[in-house]
Amino acid sequence: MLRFAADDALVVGGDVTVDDPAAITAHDTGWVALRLSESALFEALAPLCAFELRSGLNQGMVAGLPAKVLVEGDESLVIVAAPYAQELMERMA
Amino acid sequence: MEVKSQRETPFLPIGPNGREIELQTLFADVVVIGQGESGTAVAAAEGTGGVSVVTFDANRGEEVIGIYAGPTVVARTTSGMKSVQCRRVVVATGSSEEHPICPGSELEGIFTAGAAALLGAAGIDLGDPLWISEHPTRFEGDRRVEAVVTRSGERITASTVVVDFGRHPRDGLFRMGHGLPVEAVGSTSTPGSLPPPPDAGIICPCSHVSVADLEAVWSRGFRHLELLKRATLAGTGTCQGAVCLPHLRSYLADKLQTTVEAFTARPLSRQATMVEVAAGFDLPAFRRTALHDEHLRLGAHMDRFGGWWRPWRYPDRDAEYWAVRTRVSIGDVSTLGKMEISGPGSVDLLERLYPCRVADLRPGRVRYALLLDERGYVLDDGLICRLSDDRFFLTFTSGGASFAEMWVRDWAETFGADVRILDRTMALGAINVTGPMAAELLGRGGLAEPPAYLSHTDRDVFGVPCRIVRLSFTGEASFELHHGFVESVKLWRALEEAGADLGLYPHGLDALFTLRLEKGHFIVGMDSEADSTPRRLGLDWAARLDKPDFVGKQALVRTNRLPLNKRLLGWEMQGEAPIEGAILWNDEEPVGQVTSARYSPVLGKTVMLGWYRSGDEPPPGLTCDGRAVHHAHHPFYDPGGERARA
Repeated sequence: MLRFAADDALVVGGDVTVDDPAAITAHDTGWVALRLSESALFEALAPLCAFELRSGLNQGMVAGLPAKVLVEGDESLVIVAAPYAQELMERMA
Repeated sequence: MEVKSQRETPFLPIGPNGREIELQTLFADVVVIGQGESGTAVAAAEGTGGVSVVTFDANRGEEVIGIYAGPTVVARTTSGMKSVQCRRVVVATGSSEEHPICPGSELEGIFTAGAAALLGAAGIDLGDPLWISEHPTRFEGDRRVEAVVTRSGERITASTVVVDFGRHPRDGLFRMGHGLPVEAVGSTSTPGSLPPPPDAGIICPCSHVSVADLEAVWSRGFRHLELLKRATLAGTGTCQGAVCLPHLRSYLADKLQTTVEAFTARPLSRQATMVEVAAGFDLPAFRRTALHDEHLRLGAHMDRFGGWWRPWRYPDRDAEYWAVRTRVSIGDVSTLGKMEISGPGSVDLLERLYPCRVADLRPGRVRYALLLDERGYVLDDGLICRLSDDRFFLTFTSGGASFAEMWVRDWAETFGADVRILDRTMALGAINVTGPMAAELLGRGGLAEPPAYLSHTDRDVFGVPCRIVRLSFTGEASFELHHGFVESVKLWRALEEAGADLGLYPHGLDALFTLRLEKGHFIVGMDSEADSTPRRLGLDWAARLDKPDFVGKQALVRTNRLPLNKRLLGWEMQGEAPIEGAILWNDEEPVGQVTSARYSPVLGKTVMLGWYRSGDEPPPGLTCDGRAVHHAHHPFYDPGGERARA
């Protein structure tokens, strides 16, 4: 589970049960994730980040686009809203 | 309308060294600016125990140009621009020498002690200069100094003079960090004593401001150092007050007989080129809908609109229009702002946020709504779809979606509303199926009973789960199919295939703008102005002033008492449409301007929306683009709305 904000979380690859009856749970296909190796993360991605990459979930601008970077062990995920995905790939190329 | 492509935007020039300037973002606990004796000591002391330290030193070609909130320190260096986000900043930029300010102080042959030392170290012999440590009355000479007249009246002949009046902290960066964790050390933190008040001469060599200039400004009533700076530009030049500030303070302290603090320092503290300032800047990103490649496949000309790449026009412009008016068409409306809101406080929040009624909207029904600011001006518009008693689906304009989300969240927090909010703009695609045969096409996709006008339902269409919202922006029966982002292509192709024998042809923005204008629908930001109230837009009915309260109500109640001084009206004229922005003339007098104008194929004339700068009925005889134009009530097309409800 990636907690984006106090009232906003994304659960990847699993069902979710929420106690709050008013909670809005929606099947969301509007995200694209890029998987990066550790070396690629720090060589290619870090210079494009407007924030300091730390272990865990990072959020901020990557190459001028709103994105999230999940740093976990040797691999990392760059997560971006699907409408930004192509632009991000072009800017990272 | 022809939208000029940003592809023609020129690139920023490259840097003087023949390449783009890079921006490197760094992170540190402490940034130390200046690596003289004090700065070096601080950096050494701080850099222990796991504390990360970044240092800058102008002598190494690293010039800090600003300290910003964060704090963030930005420097121009020989290897590009650096931006350091840190916890603390230490300014150790030393001090600067006090310069003489008196008549003749700009003559050649006058050196500060520091400059003389540097020249001496470089092997330049200044001969036998006259050293003075007190400000003289004046220097005499033609181009070069020939004599110094002291304050006691003594005239001393000298062809070279070295002045040694003491030093003042070079603390511009420290003052720039006001309110931030920024400290000054060493001589940067040691105040110097003010020089005697100047009575003549150039006080600011950078901006060539004289004491006479200060007197002129003083005589006009400027009594504050900040005002003196603004009025004369003293202190705004290259050295940012390093030379003139002590003298300015002394001048004003003498006038006011009180202590005068230094003026505010702001970035940039050093000169920087445009390419350096632009380093690391990315053009705003334009989002792509899931159907982007489908539009390209169909030969669409894509353009940027409202923060998205959108199909402006497909190859057969006429087919787009007539498919909507006579058959069936599909349009990509994935860019619409979409939001879900739920919770026990949702009805109350929306009642307070929107000027229309919300509580009486039944589940399954849809209502058009304006969004107003506190001044009663229209910010955005969209739909309210009630999903259940305490759950709503809201839509906003494509360009206004981001702001609308912030607006709703902000007011929810302000009101302390017990609600949950989820922005769905980028998670959902949406396809508008519109035209007289739209319902038939949806029937082929399994929707036996499409929702009634201004209703919505959740059903599968061609196997894709959709939220189907029925409204009409085109003037024909229209169904927005909101669905998961990854299902867009599947749904689009299924509609295309199933609608082929119905004469389906997709429509882009160009056609849509004509279709909506025939219906007289305004577009926020295109037809509305920054001060457009519902009344000025002719949408009084959308603001229910009998509601207890809503954002903007008090302003509407007040402004509605004032005479109406401008209105968005419908206009008609023969021939081709004038350019948008064209002036409406009453003889020689401009009385308004056109905001949208299209030739209507179905009506055989040009229809327009435009502002009329009066609350009265427009007189006959107005012209636009050299032709007669007359006010016409809108909708121009299907004024009874039968086609939209069909």
